[in-house]
Formats: sequence, C-alpha cells, structure tokens
Amino acid sequence: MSISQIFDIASTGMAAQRLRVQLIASNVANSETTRTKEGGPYRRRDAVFQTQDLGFAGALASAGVRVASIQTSQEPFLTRYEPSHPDADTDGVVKYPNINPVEEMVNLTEASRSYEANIAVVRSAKTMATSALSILSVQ
Amino acid sequence: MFDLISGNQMIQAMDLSMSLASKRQTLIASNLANLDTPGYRTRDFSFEGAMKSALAGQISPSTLAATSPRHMQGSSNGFLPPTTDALQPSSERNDGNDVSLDRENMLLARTQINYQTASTFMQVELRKLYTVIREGVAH
Repeated sequence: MSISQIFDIASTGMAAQRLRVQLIASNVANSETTRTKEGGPYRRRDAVFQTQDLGFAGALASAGVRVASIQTSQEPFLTRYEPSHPDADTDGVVKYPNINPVEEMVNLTEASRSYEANIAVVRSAKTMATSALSILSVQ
Repeated sequence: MFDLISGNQMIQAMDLSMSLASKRQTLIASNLANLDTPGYRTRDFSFEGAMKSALAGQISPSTLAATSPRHMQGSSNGFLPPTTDALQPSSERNDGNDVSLDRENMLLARTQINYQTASTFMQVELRKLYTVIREGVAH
C-alpha cells in the first residue's frame, strides 16, 4: 500500500528536520553559555542526516531519513577580554561558544522549508487517498 | 460476470495509472525527506515510459509464479517499473546531494493530479456499469 508508505517517509523527514530545528534552538539559546556539564563553554551542535531503509522492497526502493549522529563542533572558542567575569582565566580572557547567528538563521530557514516540503507531501498523499476512497462511493 | 470490471480496459488502465502514480509519489516523498542528506541521489522513474511498457505487456502484472493452470493471476499492484532515469541536467550540491526542491514540488502536484484524474475516470466507468445494472433507472 503505497500511500501509507508515503506517510511513513514524510514523517521520518519531519522528525529529522524537527530535531535539526531543536539543535539550532539550542545553539542560539546557548550562544553565550560559558559553563556546561562537560566543562568549558558550549559547543555548537549539528545533525548529520542519513537515508533510512524502511523495508520497502523493490528495484526502486524509496527511503526515509534519520539523524545518523549529532556532531559537536570542534572549532576554537571565541575569546573576549572580561577580567570581571567569573569564568575569566588568569589573563582576564573569557572563552565564548563559537556560534555564528547568521549561519544558524540560514540553517533554520533551510530546516523549516524542508519541513514544509514534507508537510506538502502528506497533504498530497491525503488528497490522493481521499480521491481513491471516492471510487467506493459510486452509486 | 466480474469480467465487467476485470475485463474493462479503461478500469485496467486507470488501475495501472493509479499504482504508478502512488509508487512515484513514494519516491518523491523519499526525495523530499532526504533533501538535506549528504550524498543522496534523486530517485525517480519515467511515468510515461512505465505506463507504455506496462500497457504493451512487456512487464508481467504478476510477480507470482503460476505453476498450475488453475493458479489465479495476481493483480497489477505488486509490480515495479523497470528502472530510474538519469536526471538531466543534474545539479549536484557540494555535499553530493542532487535533489531539486522545485522539481520535486512540481512533480508532487503533477503526480497527485495524475492520480486524481485516473481515480475520477475509474469512478465514471464504474458509474456507467452501475447504470447498466440498474437498467438505466435514475437514482
């Protein structure tokens, strides 16, 4: 039954993009965070996507998507001279997360557009299912 | 008596058209879900080509082996169109992904219309049969 497969695939896409938006939200919220559980300033996180085999057999197997891993940025921290800050080192320098707001916003726009594309698929599949059901109402 | 439906070429062709359209919609869903997956290549097949070759009887509608003449033939729902067409021109991004949002969105709408057209034609055909069954009496 292809139409339920369409819903399955679109929902994997939506879940993956939603997780991506969550990570962007976390990056933006923590753009000034100097303390984390792991110690040190917050590091930028990004989702890595991978195709997901949903077990649909066939020569032209369609695939869903899943988040393969969440990558933590290893870029050097930004430094600012703030001697009064409690997390300043002996030279009075504070390390801040290396987060570029422009990059995050571009990423956010891309993620929400991709999410919308998956919503469009669901809407289209729903219309198709309704039109197939209308065959039953012949009388 | 059921030859009225199974022997009806219009209904057969529309059945085929709907199967192909929903199969293609599954692939479009897969492409849109993997819009941001690195290395993912667009998956698609030629609707017209698959329709032509299926109508020409090149593809057996059944994937089940009939080892006895008394075996029933399966329906056309299980078969897959032969292969995928290369995208021309392909616009590959830096991450090796070549899904085009515009192309997929356009195909999403077009495939949905193909499906709905087929379903409407099938409804019209079934309504004709129903009129015959009711001996032309209006309902």
